[in-house]
Amino acid sequence: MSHISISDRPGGPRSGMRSFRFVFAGTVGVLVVLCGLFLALGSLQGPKLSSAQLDTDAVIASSDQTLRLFFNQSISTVGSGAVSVEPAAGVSVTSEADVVAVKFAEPLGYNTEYTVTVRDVVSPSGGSAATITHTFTTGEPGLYYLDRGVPADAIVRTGLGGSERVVLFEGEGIQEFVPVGEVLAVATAAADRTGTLHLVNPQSGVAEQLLLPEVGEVADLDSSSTGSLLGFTISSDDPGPIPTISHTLYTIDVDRGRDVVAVLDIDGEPMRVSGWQFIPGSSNIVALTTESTIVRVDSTTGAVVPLGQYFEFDRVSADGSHVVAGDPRGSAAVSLVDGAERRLSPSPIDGQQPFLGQTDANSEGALVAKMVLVGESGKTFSSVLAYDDGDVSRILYQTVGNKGAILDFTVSPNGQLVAIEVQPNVSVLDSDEYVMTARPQSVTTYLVDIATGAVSRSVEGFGAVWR
Amino acid sequence: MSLTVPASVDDHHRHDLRPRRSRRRWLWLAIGTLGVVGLLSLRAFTGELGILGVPGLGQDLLTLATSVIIESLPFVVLGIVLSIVVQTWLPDNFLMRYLPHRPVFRRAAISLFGIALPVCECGNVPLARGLILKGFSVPEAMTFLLAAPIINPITILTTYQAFGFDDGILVGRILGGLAIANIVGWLFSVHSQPQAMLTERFAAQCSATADHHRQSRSEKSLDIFMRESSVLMPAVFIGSLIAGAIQVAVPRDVLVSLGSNPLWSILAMMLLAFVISVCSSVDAFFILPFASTFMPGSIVTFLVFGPIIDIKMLAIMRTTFTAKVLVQLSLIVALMSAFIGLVINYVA
Repeated sequence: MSHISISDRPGGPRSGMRSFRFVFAGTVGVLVVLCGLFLALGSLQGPKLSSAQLDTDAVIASSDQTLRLFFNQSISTVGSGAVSVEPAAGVSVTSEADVVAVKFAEPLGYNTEYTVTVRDVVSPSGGSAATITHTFTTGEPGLYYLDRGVPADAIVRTGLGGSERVVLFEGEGIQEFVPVGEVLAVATAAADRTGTLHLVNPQSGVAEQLLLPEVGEVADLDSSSTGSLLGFTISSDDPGPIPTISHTLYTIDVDRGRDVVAVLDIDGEPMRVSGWQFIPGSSNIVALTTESTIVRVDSTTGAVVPLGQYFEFDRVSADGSHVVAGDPRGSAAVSLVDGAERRLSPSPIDGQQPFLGQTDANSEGALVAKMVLVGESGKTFSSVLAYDDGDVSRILYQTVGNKGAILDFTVSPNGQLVAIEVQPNVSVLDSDEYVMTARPQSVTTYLVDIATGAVSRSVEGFGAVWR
Repeated sequence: MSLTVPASVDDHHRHDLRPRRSRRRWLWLAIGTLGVVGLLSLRAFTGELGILGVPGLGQDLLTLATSVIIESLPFVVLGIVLSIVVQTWLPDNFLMRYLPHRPVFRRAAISLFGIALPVCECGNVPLARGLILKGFSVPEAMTFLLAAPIINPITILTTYQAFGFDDGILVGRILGGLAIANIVGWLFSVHSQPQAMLTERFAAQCSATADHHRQSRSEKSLDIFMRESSVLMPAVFIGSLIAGAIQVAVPRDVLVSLGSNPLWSILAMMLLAFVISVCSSVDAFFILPFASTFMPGSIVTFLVFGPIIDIKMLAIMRTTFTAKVLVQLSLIVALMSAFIGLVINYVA
């Protein structure tokens, strides 16, 4: 059995106890002074920012993204007037307990440093007011495009600046592609236009051929910008009572399996479409059926909502607010919420009235559109891409000497940039002669800043997809 | 001094009691198991209590309380299991090896014992008494007693689960706990009469543990499981109910105004920790709902003060230390906890 180590100290119990009392009182005194000192310092300091939370990639892709500022203590209510953002951006502000939530009304600019300042932050118990600033840099999307070449075609990912060029996949006879989730969907076609569809993993290089429900042309690939839903059409001969071509719309959730599912129309039959697209920022679909009805389809429930009768499908706006469709009266922007129609008429460019072509119409009424200007003689034409703010239009891009043609364009999700697909010189016949989506071999895609019209970079290729 | 109990008497009693005690153990185990199942069922139905006509405040109270219990229960059970391993399966002199000779370093080393002893504060008191019997000085045993519940792995794990590395709460708790333990150890090492710090009944009470050496390891493990469960589980349940009741009963704006005041938030947290006496293994989950209302420093104050000084701990420590020592200890720990909280409020 061990003994207990509790022997008394030498020097006498009384002097020892006095020493202990002295040390104890001194310790208490020092601690009281230190507590008072830091209490005073803390009171003068005011609330402080502990951390901040923001998805810098999501904030460039969609509106209503929220920056959450966490303070080191509960704070009094902060109003919108106390918050400013530089560069300017529309925000709404709410606060509760120790969090201030700053919601951005619109997607922010790419690769831009923003500073959020919150003034007059005070504790509910009073004390000093603090001004806090938080700085963050937004992300930038990847731009995917198809570069057809010899001996193989390449699907490339690049950034907004510099000369980065990452080849994700190389293969022969690529008609179309689209990134979906972590993979690429790649459509190829035989000489008789019969299509095949592969899912390619850029990391492993493994290509997996999908088993399709029909034999026919595979086209109109698109994917949801959120989630893992891929959509496409298959067109095959339908020998029915009146022979037609099917143009059936299918989807597949690549993260959940390989089941190819037909999108059903309002009558429960597979939907046949002449144009379609996923709504940016969601997994829902907008399609123009072969019965000339624009419909919105909820991919989760399958609910089909008719939005109006049109003959031609142009595109869904990059902000996901409208679909641009055409009928004999011209083009119209149709609200995806309630089907409200806004007829599109381009504003003049330098006093000259242009003709409207393909158009992206955003929620604020502004257009990015292909326009054609007719020369004074009536014998010359120039094809331009223009931005129309509702009052005037200004040219964003036109080919050198008006020798070329603008083939297509895609506005970035935040409306900051537009990727313009250009044939530099239409007098040069250099088609790649692909059976489905033939392009000039000289096709070039330019990235243009919509606010300034400045070209930030160009790449050899087409089929730009923002992700 | 000898603690030996006559073998014949002990064997006789053990022989007589064993069947009854065994049945009682299994009965308690069954009751405990049913209790946990009942609790999980209660949790499953809590969200639908409205249809049963339970008042809104009652719903809130049950939801808050059961949430804390459900979160903490696995860790409590784990703590008990590890405690059994430490108390039953480690050699008696395991902790005595390789300690430095200089008192400061020796206490620093002892304050780290808790890392290998995943026992909450209730279990540390008997361990500290055992350390004194093994030859540790009173201040050294006190250093262990104060540090162990804060730096034991279960406490660190639960604190990390609750707060991560936000606002320096986890780091503040660990370093603050070690600082308090070592400074208190140093302070009481100046005391000239260590024996005067102990109660007269201490030695006699220690002899009660002698019986455990006669048990098989499995019997001892079961005994420890029952003992720890009977101490910890009520603390968890009652602490959770009080936590829920406080959040339901006290208007939120009162909490907010208390929580945002540098001084009152710390005093309120110390009072809360003292009253609820919740185990250090689960106190991080208990205080988590207050984290958005109270300043981080006051949360740390709660987390370092509570495991050392609360109603339950004072009652248990009174079995070993005199009332005067406990008052001195409480004062120093309170001031140090407040100081740590104020520093973190200023820095974090």
